[in-house]
Amino acid sequence: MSDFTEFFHQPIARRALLACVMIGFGNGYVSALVVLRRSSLKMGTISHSLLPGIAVAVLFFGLTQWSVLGGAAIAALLVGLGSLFLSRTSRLDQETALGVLYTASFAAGMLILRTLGLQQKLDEWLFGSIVGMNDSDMWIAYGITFGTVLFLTTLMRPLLIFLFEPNVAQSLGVPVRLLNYGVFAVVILVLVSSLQAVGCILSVGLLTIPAATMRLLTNDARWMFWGGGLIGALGATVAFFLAYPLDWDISSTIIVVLGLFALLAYLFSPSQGLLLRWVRER
Amino acid sequence: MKPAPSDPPSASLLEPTSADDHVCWGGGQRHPASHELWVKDLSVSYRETRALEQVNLHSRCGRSVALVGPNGAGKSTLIKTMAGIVKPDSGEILWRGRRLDGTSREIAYLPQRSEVDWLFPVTVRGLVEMGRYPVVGWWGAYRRHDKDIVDRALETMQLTDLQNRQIGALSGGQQQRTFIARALAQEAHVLILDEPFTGLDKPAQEQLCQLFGELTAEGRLLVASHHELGSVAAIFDEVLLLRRHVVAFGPVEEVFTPANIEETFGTV
Repeated sequence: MSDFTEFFHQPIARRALLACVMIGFGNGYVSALVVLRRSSLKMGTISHSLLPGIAVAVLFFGLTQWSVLGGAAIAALLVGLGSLFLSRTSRLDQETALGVLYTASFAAGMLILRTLGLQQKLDEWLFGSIVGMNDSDMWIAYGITFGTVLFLTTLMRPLLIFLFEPNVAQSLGVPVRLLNYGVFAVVILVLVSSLQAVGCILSVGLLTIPAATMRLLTNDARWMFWGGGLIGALGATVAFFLAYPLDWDISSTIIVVLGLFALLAYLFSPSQGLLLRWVRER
Repeated sequence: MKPAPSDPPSASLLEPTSADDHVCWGGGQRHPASHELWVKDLSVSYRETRALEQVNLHSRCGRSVALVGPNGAGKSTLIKTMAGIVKPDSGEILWRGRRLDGTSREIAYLPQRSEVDWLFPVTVRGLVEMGRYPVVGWWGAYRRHDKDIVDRALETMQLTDLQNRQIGALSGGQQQRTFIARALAQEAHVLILDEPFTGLDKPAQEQLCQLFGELTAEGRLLVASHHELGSVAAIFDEVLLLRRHVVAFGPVEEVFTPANIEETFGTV
């Protein structure tokens, strides 16, 4: 344990903890959007499309924080909005268009990064390294979390109508187009922020499990946002304190802890829980 | 300051004198035959496919209009266009003499029940409160007035006891009434409903039919797509037979004839 105390006194450790709380909250908050839109699998495809953007940006601008993040954001926007565009202008549905775009670009990204000799970096982007975040990473993550929560909180009322039924929302004068693209952009920005934290594969977990857990506990959509944020932050913090003493990979630990939260909610939810149903049936 | 009226309001202000000159729900004031809905030469396409061709329709508040036609005849498209969700290629829609451009608070859209995500975490009251969005907007507070209107809408639709229930835990008839309550909370004058009777059991259908009568008696205009030919005459005043273009439109007893029905549904 004294080892851990020592570790915790290093600035890098406290920075990692702060990153866990912040990214956990931001992703958890936005996970309500993903769950209410039933689009967690779609998020998986988009998070993979971050990779080719990084590859191309590194190819042209060299390996810097901004080129990596900028490239990831642009790739995700291109694939995400591109699939929307493709589905609106052809007979392909959006899922299919995403399937085409993301696999093709993911494969291209792998080839480019391997050719550039960046195998180790490739692993970091795939699986994350929250301990390795530097100041500019932190500022980017902070800005994205703050902006996202502000945007969604401001638009919460029309947003919930839109998430419930877009046609009804439009007939009520809700700015559906703004929300459609805004929601998409927000999710992609948050994905980018979690890229370094947990990597593009596990970020889907961070963007689904917190609100899924809340869904088992509440019938109020607003609570899925704030509760999701709290669960995301709590899960990441618990994982931080487990990972070092146990010498576990922190990205995986975060997702495992969140998965356990979801399991606990499934079993013991006061309104929905398996235990409650079992007791009632007896 | 408004000048005090010199004459007391005449009795005719409170009592409808005829269908053309009547008191109806909402403003509570007389409006000589002005609450009319006109659909003029409306054409709508999805990508390259023409969904509606030169559709014309004219009705006024206090009536109910059935949209009848085979699958793919454009009923849902017409409904969505009237609700301002789909943009027409050409033609126009006039309500109360004004051209509708996009959506209007006075026109409520009620989707088909099968298109709604009933597992969405919202209560009956929460859904009905959505009807106040055009008034309260992004941040506006729910005032006493808004709360009263929501309470009254719930009460009118006999949903007061169910108001805290999750919408997925309702019967089909209750779900339909929740959407009507939302339209009432919106203070809508025109209700545009997509297949409201589909999937309801017999008692719920009868209750909804009775509700239709009450809503039109209050002066609302109802436009609904309907696929059960046998019940059109019992529920609706007017019928629009649709097959991308208008086959016939008018009072049910005049145009809902075997020949017109044959022309609408028959293979040509």
